[in-house]
Order: sequence, then C-alpha cells, then structure tokens
Amino acid sequence: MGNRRVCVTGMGAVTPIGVGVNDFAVGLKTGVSGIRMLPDDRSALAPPRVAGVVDIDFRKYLQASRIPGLDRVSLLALTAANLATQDAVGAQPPNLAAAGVYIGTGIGGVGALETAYEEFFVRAGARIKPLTVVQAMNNAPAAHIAMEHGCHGPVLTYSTACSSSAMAIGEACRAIRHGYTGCALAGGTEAMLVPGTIRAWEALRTLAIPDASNPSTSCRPFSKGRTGLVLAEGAAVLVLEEFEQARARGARIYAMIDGYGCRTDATHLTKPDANGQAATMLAALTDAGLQVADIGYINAHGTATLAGDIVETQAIKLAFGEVAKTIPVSSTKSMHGHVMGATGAIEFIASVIALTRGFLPPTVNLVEPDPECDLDYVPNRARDGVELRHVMSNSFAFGGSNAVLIASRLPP
Amino acid sequence: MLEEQQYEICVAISEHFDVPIEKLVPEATMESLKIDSLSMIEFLFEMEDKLGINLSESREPLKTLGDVFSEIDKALQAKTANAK
Repeated sequence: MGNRRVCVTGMGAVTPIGVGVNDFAVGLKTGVSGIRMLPDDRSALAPPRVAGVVDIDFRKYLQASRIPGLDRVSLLALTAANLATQDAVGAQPPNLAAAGVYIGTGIGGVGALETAYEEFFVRAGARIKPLTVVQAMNNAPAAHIAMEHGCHGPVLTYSTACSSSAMAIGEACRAIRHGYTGCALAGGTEAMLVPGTIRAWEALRTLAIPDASNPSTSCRPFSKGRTGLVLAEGAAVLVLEEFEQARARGARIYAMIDGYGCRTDATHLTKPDANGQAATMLAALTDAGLQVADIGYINAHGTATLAGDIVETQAIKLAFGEVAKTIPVSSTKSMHGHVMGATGAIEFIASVIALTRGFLPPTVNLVEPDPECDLDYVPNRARDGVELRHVMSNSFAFGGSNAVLIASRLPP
Repeated sequence: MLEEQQYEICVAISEHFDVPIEKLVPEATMESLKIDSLSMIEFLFEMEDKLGINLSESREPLKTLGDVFSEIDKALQAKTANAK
C-alpha cells in the first residue's frame, strides 16, 4: 500500500449562508446569518422557532426530471455532489466510475416519513405514496449521488447524529489510504425542518429561544446567556482523491487530509464528555503526525448548548494544554446553524476555506463571553491575513460518537 | 375497457413519462417504453386517485401496456359492480 495520502480536490456546499464554495466563503468572511423565523408552513409550531434555512431553486442545479420523487434530503445531497464534481477541475477529470460514495445523515428522509404518517394517522383513507420507503431510507442520498455520477465503488451511509458527515469523510479517507478506492465523494446531508421533528427537538429542551428583536442572532455559541442550538438544513460533499492519482490527472488540490480521529465517549447518550472529546482530538493529531502547536485554527463543534460549549472548551484545554489559549477557535454554527448529519462536512469545508484563503471565520453574536468559555473564539468579525498550515474540525455527537478531522496545506 | 377510457390512460402515460402517444399500443413492452417498475407503481397510484379505483393486490408483473390496461379495467369493473 505504501504511503497513500488523501487530498481534497473538489468542494460543494449547500448551506443557509451560501450555495457553492465561493458564496459560502463570502458568507463566512462577512459573518452573515442564515438563521430566521420559520414560516408557518414549515414549522406549524407554537411557540415559533428559528432555523437555518437553505434558499434554493433545485432546477438551477439538477435536471428537472431528477427532482420529482426525491425527498429534500436527497435533493440537497445531489446538489452538493454536483457542485463538488464541477469544482474538481484538472487536466483530466477525476475517476468517478471507480469512486466510492460516503455520506452521513442523522435522520435521512424524515420529511417523506412525516408526510406518510400524516396521511395514515391524521387523514382518513390511509393512502401512503408508493415512493415513501425509497425517499425515506437513510441511504437514498448516497444512492442517488452514485447513480448521478456513475460511481461503482463502495456506497456507504453513516449515521452517528451530529458527527455523521465528519465520520463519512474520515472513513472515506481510510478507504483511500488503505487502497479500497482511489477517489470518493464524501460528505453529508440533512433536511429535518419538518413540524413533527422540530417538535421532537423542542421536547428535548435544547433548541435556542428565538431572539424576539433579531431572530437571526438567536444562535450564540460560547456566549453568556446562550439558550441552545438552532436546527438547520443543508448538505456538503467533497471530492477526495489519493494524492498521487490527483497529481497525475493535474488536479487543483485544496488541501491534504492526514488526520482523522474517531473515538467514543461511552458514558452518556447526550451528555458530552471532555475526556472523550480530548482523546479524539489527540487521536487525529497522532494520525497526522502533528504536535498540538502545529494547529492554527479549530472549527469547534460549538452548538451553543449550555453544557456543550463549556465541555468542548475544557476538552480543548485538556488536549492542547498551555497552547489552547493561543489557538483561535470559532463556531460557524453561529451563522449557519446546526446542520446535524451535514454539519461536520459543512464545517470541514469552512476549515479548508480558512486554510486556503487565509482568514478565520468568526463566532458571531458573541458580545459577552461566558466566563467558563475563555478561549479565543474569534468574536464577531473574521480575522484576515492569517497564515495557516494545519486546521482542525471538531464534531461531537449524541451517542458519544466523536470525529475530528485535520486538513493541511500541500507539501512544498 | 371503453376505447375512450383507454385513450384517457394513454394520454396520462404519455404526459407522465414523456412518451409519444402513438407508441402506446397494447403490445408495447415497458422495456421498449423505458418505463421501470418503480415509476409504473407511482403512476398507477396517481391513476387510482384520478379514476377513483382500487387496483388489485396482484403481484403479476406488468410486462406490456396491455397488462396495464387490463389491471385498470378489472378495477373499473369492480368499481361498477360495487356501485350496483
């Protein structure tokens, strides 16, 4: 096998703050918010809720004939995959026919399921649409991507809640390193902004209370007075290739992925664990052969829950020791919300953007820091003109499944 | 099946699958029309709503358009019988 390394050669992001890598990068740099009050038809809730919503006309990105019959979770994923493959430029195209597809999703086509359940339980007649099963199944997004791009390698779906897509990227990297495939489309997708599912989240008492005067500022990671996470929808897919193969086809290479940590808390279903998170960050560093001082930026999991932000701060201190205070850490969820099964991939793209474009995306809405959150969170404004060599992206999930990815600049 | 009912179904198939109506003869196979079984199930679901019928639980594959006409005809006859 030798020393097979993995690089990123294409990126497609479909997020509440921008569709396409360039728009997403502009959103990250200007600190915009994609969070707003949900319209009544999307929420049907009392009290009303905020969410990160993707404004998109799928006909601009997909063939019209592909759109009917697909749940939104697959439409978002297909759009991200199309953008990523278009972005994977080079003298020759990537070898997609042999590629694998590695997609994370928390809850898949839950919109199709909710529609079916509404038909069955609420309306008389019980006419369930025949495509319900194939729209709702968790592996539908990955299957549609494989069919669209003719990928005949392994097509796998990962479901580890909030770390699903970081896990998918990490596992795709391992498959490339270990020679199971030379190319992979990896990322995640989520479309859970449907009434019953939002209600279920609400019942867990983890959702942010909307800011009445300015709903777009409702997500406040690391801030005093934060009230919880903001649900969001979106997708992100990256084209990953074995480094020599990418070079041989003359690919434009964004970054290397040399570090992947995958560890489990095994303590509590929802309560985050600083030791488990720190162990995962250290596992990623060991995998990459790096020291703590090598990391120039951490894209935090930073959900804005009361416990989560404090525990992640403790975990970074545990893993990085004295160096922790000097490393900029930001939560881009403050802008795009928590995209659950897609959030790891979206934030990994944000990290690669930071690395390649030399700026640190901010944590917005951080006016008064929580005294227990005392790191450099890049408050409110992007920091420009930053030279980064290695960046880390954290994803910590319900179920205790943690994934950490490290992206690095190309070897000189 | 009445000729006008068959024509109505052909118009619906033509529109749903974007197939020229002149190709929709009873002996035409699904394969030749490039209509897969999943898409046909979805179409028949719509026809049940449109015609107010319930198709049988038959698992016989619908190989030709004639099979589709026959399935719908059976359901239409059952509907008429029930009405009496």
